[in-house]
Amino acid sequence: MILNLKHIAKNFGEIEVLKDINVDLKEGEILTILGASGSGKSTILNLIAGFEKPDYGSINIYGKDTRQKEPHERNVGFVFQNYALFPHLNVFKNISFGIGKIDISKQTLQVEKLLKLTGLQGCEKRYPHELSGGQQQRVALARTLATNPKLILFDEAFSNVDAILKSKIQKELISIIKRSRVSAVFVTHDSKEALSISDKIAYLKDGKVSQFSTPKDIYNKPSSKSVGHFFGKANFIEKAGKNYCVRPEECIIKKSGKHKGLITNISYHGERQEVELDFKYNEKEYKFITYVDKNFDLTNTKSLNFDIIWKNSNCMDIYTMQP
Amino acid sequence: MVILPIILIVFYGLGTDGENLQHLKDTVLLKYIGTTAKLLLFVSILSLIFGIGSAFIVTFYEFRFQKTYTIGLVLPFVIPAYILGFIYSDIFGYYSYLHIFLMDLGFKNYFDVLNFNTVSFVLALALYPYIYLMVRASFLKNANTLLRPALSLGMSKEKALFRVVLPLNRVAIVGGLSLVLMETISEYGVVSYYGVDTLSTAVFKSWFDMGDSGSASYISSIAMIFILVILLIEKFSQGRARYTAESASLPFEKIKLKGIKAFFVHTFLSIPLLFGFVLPFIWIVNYTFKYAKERIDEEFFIVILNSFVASAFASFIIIILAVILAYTYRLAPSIYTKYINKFASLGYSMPGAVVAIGIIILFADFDHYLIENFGFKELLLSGTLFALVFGYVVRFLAVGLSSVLSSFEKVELNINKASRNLGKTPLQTLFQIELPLLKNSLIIAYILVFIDTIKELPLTLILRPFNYETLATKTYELAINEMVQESAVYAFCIILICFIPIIFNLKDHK
Amino acid sequence: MLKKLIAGVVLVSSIVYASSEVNVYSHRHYDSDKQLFKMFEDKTGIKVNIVKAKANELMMRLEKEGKNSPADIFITADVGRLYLAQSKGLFQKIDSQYLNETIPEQLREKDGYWFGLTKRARVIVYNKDKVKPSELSTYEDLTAPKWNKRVIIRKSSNIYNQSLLASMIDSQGREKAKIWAEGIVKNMGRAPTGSDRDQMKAVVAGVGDVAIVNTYYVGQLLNSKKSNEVMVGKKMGVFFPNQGEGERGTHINISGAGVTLSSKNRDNAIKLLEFLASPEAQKVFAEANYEYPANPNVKASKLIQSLGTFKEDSIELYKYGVYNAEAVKIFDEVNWK
Repeated sequence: MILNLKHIAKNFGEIEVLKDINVDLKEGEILTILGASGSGKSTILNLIAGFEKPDYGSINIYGKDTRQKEPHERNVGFVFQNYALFPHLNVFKNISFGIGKIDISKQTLQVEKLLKLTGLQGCEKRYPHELSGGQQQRVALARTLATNPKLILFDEAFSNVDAILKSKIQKELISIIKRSRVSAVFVTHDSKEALSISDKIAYLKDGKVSQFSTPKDIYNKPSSKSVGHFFGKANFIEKAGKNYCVRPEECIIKKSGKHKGLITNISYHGERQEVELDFKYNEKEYKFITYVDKNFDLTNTKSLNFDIIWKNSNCMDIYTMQP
Repeated sequence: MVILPIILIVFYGLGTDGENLQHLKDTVLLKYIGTTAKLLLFVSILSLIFGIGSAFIVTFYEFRFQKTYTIGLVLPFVIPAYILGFIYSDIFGYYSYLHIFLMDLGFKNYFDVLNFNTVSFVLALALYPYIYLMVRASFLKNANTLLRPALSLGMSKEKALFRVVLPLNRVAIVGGLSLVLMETISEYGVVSYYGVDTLSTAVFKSWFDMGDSGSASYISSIAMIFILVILLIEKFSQGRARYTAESASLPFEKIKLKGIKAFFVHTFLSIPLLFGFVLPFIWIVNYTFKYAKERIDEEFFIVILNSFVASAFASFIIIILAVILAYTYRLAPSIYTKYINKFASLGYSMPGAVVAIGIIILFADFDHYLIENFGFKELLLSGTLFALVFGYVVRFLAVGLSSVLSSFEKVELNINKASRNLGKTPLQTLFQIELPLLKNSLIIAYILVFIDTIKELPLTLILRPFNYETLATKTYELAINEMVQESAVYAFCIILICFIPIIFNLKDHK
Repeated sequence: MLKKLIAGVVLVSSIVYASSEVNVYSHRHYDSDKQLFKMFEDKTGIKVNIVKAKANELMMRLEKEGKNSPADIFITADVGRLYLAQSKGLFQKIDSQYLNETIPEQLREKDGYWFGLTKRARVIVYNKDKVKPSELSTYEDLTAPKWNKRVIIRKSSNIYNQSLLASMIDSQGREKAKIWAEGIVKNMGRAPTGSDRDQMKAVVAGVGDVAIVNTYYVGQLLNSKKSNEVMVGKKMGVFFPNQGEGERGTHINISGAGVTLSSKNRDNAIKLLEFLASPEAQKVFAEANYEYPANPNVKASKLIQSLGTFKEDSIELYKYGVYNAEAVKIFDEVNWK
């Protein structure tokens, strides 16, 4: 086990930021801690890196307890939201900063390896303010990799990245992480990002992890309505005493469909149309959101017939369902 | 160690008879408190207008001589308030050349300058640069994030100033203002000469005139209450906003001014510049040339050397202490470290003479102890250069600390974290990352402290070793003997010494 | 570089302590004093070391340094502080035949705790254009209604004002002294501020018509390098009050010195005091600073002589010190700023 958080609690003054956090991470895995802003997710990173001390609970890194370890003794990488590059040092010196006392030629060799890995060859003489945002991030990553950590923490890694470049940069970064065979903890408020980069996702709400599972499970089997809504559009429908999370795409529009819904709203999204329907199921009224093909002509349509693809996998017990 | 003399003063003589205190309470104390409050109010208003107004104009507007103003507006800082006071009485007082000239022109009525209003004006002129410097730095840091969006939202400039600029820079404003207020409370030279009775007067009266240290410490604690209020306001203004803005500020576009607006700007800026620096400086230069021959002798150079050594040495210690305190606070901002910092600042709010007496008590007790228990032959520390330097440290640590704290704030905390995360200890981080990044700010902090120590008078008078004259003591000695004009040579040197690093530094900074 | 400088300064100051020397704490800030100490050094080879600050603060330093204090002599610019230092046990008795013979009895402490070196009179000055000397008589007369809004005097924190009031407490009792202070406050042309020179400038400017100042300030004005100050000096008339039959005489004060109890260079200290009382030193006091020499064999400067002779208040001077605290309180009670 690379990382293990048990019963972590942390207060700032009167405010309980974290109440009971339990998370673990295996070697080579990527974990994303997801939550709204102010949910305490960055605090978790600060606790792991040792910048803050937990009020309660234990943090094990690489199988060892960290209670007595100062930040500089933990060998955990940290890539900051704004990268926190040292502005007075050039790229080479930034990267070599954390390398221990070894002779210059070995050091140069190692930095060159990292420059190559992160695609920064030729930038070593430049200063941080002369680099693009994406380059800065790669320097930050290379700087961290230079200390050979087995675990790297990323605080809002893509929040400063241009939306158009985002997926490209995500892919590059993940590929570097996988090639370097390190584990990583990402912190973000972006559910799409979490789903696409993670092996595991921990959803943080009210100081607790309300769901900790794989991206597929967390999307298909959300443990609560709030988790369900966080990862995309969702319909919650009761059937035979069970509560089902039906994603809009789990629905087939056809004339012979079992259910009939009245169209209340249509919005065009380019790749598809989003339609809101009022329909009744087992004597209960629902608002149902579904997707319709982008070319489907809805101009004179007042209602739609459809079938829901019920899957046992996306049902939750109604009694444990939280708002 | 540094706060020991202050604690000593507060507790010294507690329990002595309160007869004098009762007398003061019955007669003048309330009036003194009232005058102090009024003086604080007047000086605040004036120095805020001078400080913020000029900082705003030189930061966000472009006009002729804008760069000259930018540097020039710092300069009143180098003229000690007491010298400014003496000069104004000499220039504008009764039967000054100006008065005689006006009489020759047939003017019958003339104004008296030796009063409260002049003191407010003089103190505001001498002290507003604190606000100007801190606020301008803060403006520069926030310029991009603040004014442009506000203006693009269609706010008028005036509205933007009050709704966005001032609230966002309140930490710097209140920080500068609290330094101004502390200096005002501890000020004694100008207020006593101009006949304005503040709490400082009461402290001197009870302690030195009546020999009643108990009452003096009681009154000092009243002054402390003023300071605590100031510190609370400062704390309140910082609130929970422990913000770490982006480290580098991008260049931004200044608004060009022409015509009538530019004329108003020039008028506004020239008031503090003219009265705070140009006019007194011309006076000083004039009399320096007149009396230079008589005053420049062998002693003159020893005096300069003395001033330089004591101030340079003290400022060095202050900056080191300030870095230690500020860095400890940065790594672990707890209530404990916060209060240590507040406490360390108390020396600044006390009159220099009172701090000096605290140190005399401390060192004398220490020396007697050495003599009685360890067979020392004579006083080890009392009356030495060390005592003087220590006095400067106690009194001016606050200046160093507040500017070091604010310069630390300019470097985002994540940079420190990043270094520690890369395996460097806090100490290695300080030396390899923080200090190189802070180099310029630390030099400025050093200069600020250096200027303050070189200007300091009452503390120097009391604590100095035998035959030890500094520029401040010489200036004062001549001024107090009503040879103000002859003191110009020494005042000129104080200004020159302070001048060089400031100019050098401002140029370096562009 | 810095280290060298510091080392240098420490070295210089330790050399200073090494040889035959005398250490002085002085409240007097005059250039002429420096000249006197130089003369003494040249004559005797004894080095004079000085710390100059305000008397009260130096006294505090003396007190706290106690028996280990390096100071040998404490010089003040008024007698009240000499008395205070004596009553705090900071001085020791000196029995010097020369000093006893040279300095008149009134100007020294009877047991030899301190000795007056120079004398100054606190007089009434008036605007020659507006006031005739015949209108003036005594300090007390300045409280009369005719002087309403015409009297200018500096703050009550000034020691010479305190001594003046103390002398009145002694001669007339607390009640009458307080009535006098009240009367002066009522007649003030402006709230007290500035120095003695500023009082005279205000008189010439017409803020008031008379002021109470020390004699040597008149001399300084008349000999100023600034033409406007000379103008002020020339417009001022000097009047010695309380000269009439049965009146107590003009108030005087002294600048003086005593040898500290802790003195480690007692012989040198006495030598210095004797030198300062000697005609050659007294002449410097008289000429350079327009003070009246304590040594009756030395004449005052020509300028001061031209002000005329006068009857001095014959009060025992130490009483200024006795009543000093009381005087400060009265000033507060009558709201004399």
